[in-house]
Amino acid sequence: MQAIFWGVRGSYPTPGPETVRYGGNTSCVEIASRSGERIVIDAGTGLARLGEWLAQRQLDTGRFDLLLSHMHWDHVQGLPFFAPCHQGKAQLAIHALRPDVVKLRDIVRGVARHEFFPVALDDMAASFEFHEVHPGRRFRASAFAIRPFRLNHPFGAVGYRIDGDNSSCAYVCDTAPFNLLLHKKHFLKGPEPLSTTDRRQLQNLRASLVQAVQGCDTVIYDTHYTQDEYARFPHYGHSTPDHALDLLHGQGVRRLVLFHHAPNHTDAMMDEIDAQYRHKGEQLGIEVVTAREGLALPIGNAASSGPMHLVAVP
Amino acid sequence: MKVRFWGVRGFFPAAGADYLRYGGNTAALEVIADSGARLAIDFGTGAVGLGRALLGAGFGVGKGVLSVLLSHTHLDHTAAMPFFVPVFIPGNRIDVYGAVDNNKLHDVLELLFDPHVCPINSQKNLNASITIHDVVDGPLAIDGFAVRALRVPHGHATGVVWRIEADGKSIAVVTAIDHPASGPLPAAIELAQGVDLLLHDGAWRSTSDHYARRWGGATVSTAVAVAVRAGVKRLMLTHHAPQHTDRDLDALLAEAQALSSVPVWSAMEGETIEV
Repeated sequence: MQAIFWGVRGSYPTPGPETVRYGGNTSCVEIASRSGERIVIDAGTGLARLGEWLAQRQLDTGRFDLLLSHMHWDHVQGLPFFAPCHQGKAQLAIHALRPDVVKLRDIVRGVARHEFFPVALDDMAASFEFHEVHPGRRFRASAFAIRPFRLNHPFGAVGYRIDGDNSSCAYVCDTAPFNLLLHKKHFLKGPEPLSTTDRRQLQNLRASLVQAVQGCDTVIYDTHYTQDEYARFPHYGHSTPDHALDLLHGQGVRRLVLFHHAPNHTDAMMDEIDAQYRHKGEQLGIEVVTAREGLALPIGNAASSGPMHLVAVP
Repeated sequence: MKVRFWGVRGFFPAAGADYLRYGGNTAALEVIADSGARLAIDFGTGAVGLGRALLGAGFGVGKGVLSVLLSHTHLDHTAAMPFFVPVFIPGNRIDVYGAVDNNKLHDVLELLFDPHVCPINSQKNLNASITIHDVVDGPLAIDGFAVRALRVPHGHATGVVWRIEADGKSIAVVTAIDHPASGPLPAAIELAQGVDLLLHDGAWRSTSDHYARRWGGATVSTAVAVAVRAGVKRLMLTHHAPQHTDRDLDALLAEAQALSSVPVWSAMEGETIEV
C-alpha cells in the first residue's frame, strides 16, 4: 500500500516560489494498493492534478471511491476540475459525514453550484453516488477496509483508518486537539467555557481516535500550526505536530506524517518544522515525515510497495 | 493610473515549479489612480496577497476604504473573500459590486461562508463594514474613478465586464464573457472602445480545446478580435489556464502577437504597469 500526496496545504492554495518544494495545492491524498486499486481522501485542488495525471496516462478510472473528511472549501474545491467527473464511464462514489437533516447530495450539489464553478454537478458526465459515513461503522471502499471516527472541527469532520495489503494507515484531518475547546455547530469567536458534558464528549472523541489509530503503520495528521500560531488561533480547529505526537505516542504507531500545512508556511519554515519534529519523533520512537506534493510513501513493508519517492505532478 | 496584478490564473490556482514566472494565483487586480484612490477587481487567491499588502495602507488599523468589482462569482474570482484579511478588521469599509442571475449577489456570496463549507459561518461574522451591491448596466459612483458596468452571458452564470477611467486613461476588464460564435459581442466592443489597456480572458488556443469545451472561457484569437475591433492601444491576456506552464504561455503569447495588429502582452503575477 502507498499514500500519494497530491495536495498538502490547508485553508487555501498557495502557488508561488516560496511554497514550490512542499507544494501549494490543498488537501488530497491517494491510497493505492499493491494491485493498483485506489481510493482518494479529500478533494482539494490536488485532486485536479491527480485527474490530469490519470488523464495523461489514459488510466480508466471506472468506479472511484472518494472519502471526504468534511466539506470545507479546501477539501472540496478540486472536485469540479477532476478529469474523471467529465468522463461518461466514470462512477464517483462520494463518502462523507452527513450533517443532521441536510442530505449529502444537496450539499455536494450546493458546493458545485453554477455560481461557483463553470460546470454544475448535474451537468457532469460521470455518475455520482452518495454514501453517508457513520463514525464507528466500518465499511469497504475498493480494496480497503475503512473505519471512520469523529474529529473535533467546526461543523464536524471525520477521520479514517484504512486497512489493506496487511498494513494500515489513518487520515486524521481536520481536527483541533481534545482539551481546550469542543467544536459544535456554531461560530466560535474564541475558546468558550466547557461544560461537564463537553468535557466528556472531548474525552470520548479522543478515546475513539486513540483506539482507531492503535498499531497503525502510518498516521497522516492535521498539523497546520506551530505552537505559537496555535496559541493565537486555538478556535480554528487545527492541531500542531506536538499535539499529534502527544496523542500517538505509546499507541504502536510507526510513523507520523505532518500534513495540512498552514498557507503562510514557506518552504524555509517547513524545513525547520521538519527538522525539529523529526528529532522530537526520534526521541519518542516515531518516524516523522513532512508531507510534500508528489510524495509517494510506502505504507507498511517497503519491499512490497517500493521506496519513498516523488511522482511527477502535472 | 497603475494596475497591479495579484493573480492572473483562471479556473483554479496553478501551484508548482512550471508556473512560477506567470504565477499561479487566481484573479485579483489592484487599480491605483494618481490621486491615490484605489479599487480592486476580483477575489481570486491573488487577493490574499493584496489583503496583506493593504494592512500597511490603513486597513491594518480599521481606516481602509475599498471598492471591489467582481467579474462574476465563480470561485476563481471569489474564493479568497473569506481570506482577505481587511474583512476581519473593524472599521474598514468594503463595497463589493457585481451581478448574479437573481440580482441577489449578497445571498450568493453568503453561500461562500455557509457553515458546511467555511468555518466563518456567515458574512455577519466579518468585522469590517461590508456592503454588497447588485449592479445594472451603466455608470457607477466610485470615488476617484469613472466606472461603467456591462452584464454579459458567462456559462450558466452572469458575468460583468468593466470600464474604468481615471487620470485621462482608461482600462477595460473583460474576463467573464461568452462571445457568440459569430464574433465578439458588440456591446463589449462598445464598452472597450479606444481604451488604453484591454485586459481580456485568453485562456485557450482553440474552442475545440478539451477544457475550453468543458469549462468555457475565451480563445486568444477572440481576445485579439475584440482588441482590434475596439481599437484599443494595448491588449493584455489574462485568466491563464491552470494547465498552461510558463513555456505554454510564452508560446500562446507569441501566437497572439503574430495575429494582432495591436500590441499584446500577457499578464504576470506581481507586475505593476503604468497605463
